[in-house]
Amino acid sequence: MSACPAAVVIGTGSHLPSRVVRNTDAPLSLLETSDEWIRSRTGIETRRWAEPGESTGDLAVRAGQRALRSAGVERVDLVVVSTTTPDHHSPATAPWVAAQLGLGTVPAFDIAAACSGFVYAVAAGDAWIRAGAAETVLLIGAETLSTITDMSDRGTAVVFADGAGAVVLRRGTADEAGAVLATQLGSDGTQKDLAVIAAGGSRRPDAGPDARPDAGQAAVQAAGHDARCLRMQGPQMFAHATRRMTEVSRSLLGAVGWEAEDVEAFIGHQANQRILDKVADLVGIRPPGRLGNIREVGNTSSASIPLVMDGVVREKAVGAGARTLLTAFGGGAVWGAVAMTWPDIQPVF
Amino acid sequence: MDMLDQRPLDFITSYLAQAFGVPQQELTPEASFSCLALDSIAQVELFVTLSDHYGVHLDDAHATGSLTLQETADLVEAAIADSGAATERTAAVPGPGAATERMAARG
Repeated sequence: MSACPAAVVIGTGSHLPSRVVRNTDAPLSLLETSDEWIRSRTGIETRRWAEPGESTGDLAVRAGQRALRSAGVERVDLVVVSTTTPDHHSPATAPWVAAQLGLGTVPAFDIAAACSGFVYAVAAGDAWIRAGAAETVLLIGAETLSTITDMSDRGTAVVFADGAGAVVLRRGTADEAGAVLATQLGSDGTQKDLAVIAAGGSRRPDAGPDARPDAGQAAVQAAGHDARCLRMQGPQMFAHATRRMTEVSRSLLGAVGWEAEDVEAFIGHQANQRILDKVADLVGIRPPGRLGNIREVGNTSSASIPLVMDGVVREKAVGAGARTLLTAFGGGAVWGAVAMTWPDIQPVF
Repeated sequence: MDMLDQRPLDFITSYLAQAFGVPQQELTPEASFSCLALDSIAQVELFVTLSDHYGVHLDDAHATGSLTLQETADLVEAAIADSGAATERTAAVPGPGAATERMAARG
């Protein structure tokens, strides 16, 4: 038996806002689209949106509570929140979440890696644990993408959603069920325009008009509104996401010595069902192992993978020790993958 | 026939019929993606699939609605040819050892 130290997943949790939005509900029903169009192009039937005033931190706290309860721990040594929709530009969301969870003065920070945030968080938590800097780590992926979505933009309004998922890592060994065996991350900053919020950062602090001065008041106002919302180049995103998740998945499988057919649980970032299917096809993942929730939950960015993980734990759909591959791609561009074994966790309701 | 031996045009028509349910009789070389009512995502998906299948780089900027199936196949053929030429160029470049030997012979 190997005694190689490893981070081990010992608890999962999730939380979704109560508001369910179907493809036929307003404001989506006002767009030039249809239920059939949305289903066939994204795989999404419903999604959850937070109520006004319900923040990413609020969702993260609920998911974190459940993950801590699932793990049976009351203290951790580190809290990491991955999000692209933090409560504030500053401070980070993680310290507030840690305080709400009663975790005292624990180290806490955010990771901003768009839809790849959770795999980046796993890599960070794994590194802290293997370096001996932490015994237990709480990782939370949480998003309120509805707050950065232009509800008149068909390409993003039908896709993005809100939610939070969390896992607890504990220092253990690589032969335990739930062990993180390897991670690989990557980025390509030349592709930053694939998905971008133009205003609000130091490059363009205000969301002021970006339209031509002679464009008219309505166009000027619309430009200001647009600049605060996430813009995505759909086809280009599809191409880059598919290629990068395929490449990193193949590379990681090679690193851990697994064949694609060995993978019993595959969870890709729930971006779009067509991307997920294509990546799984190209990598060679067998259909029974392809796990997801995009039909009911939509694209929740960095929350999507831990949301699926918690759902699978609740359904007991995967056996402890099953060979598991996680992969994600997000704006930046950033991507990554995690090879692990499925944790031995009893669902907590 | 090995899948890799399949001509790009045949691969393209087979893929579009299988993945998107395009009727076989509509899949002529002259048909454009717009004519076939295939959206931009479908076209990019085909490009990704072709790149992976033939192991070549295809520039997604070529993925426009007016592109025909024959033109798509031509892009793949050109990329395969480029790839082969690059491999031959690499093989023909003498390594450091060979350069040293020639210099020694001149000396």
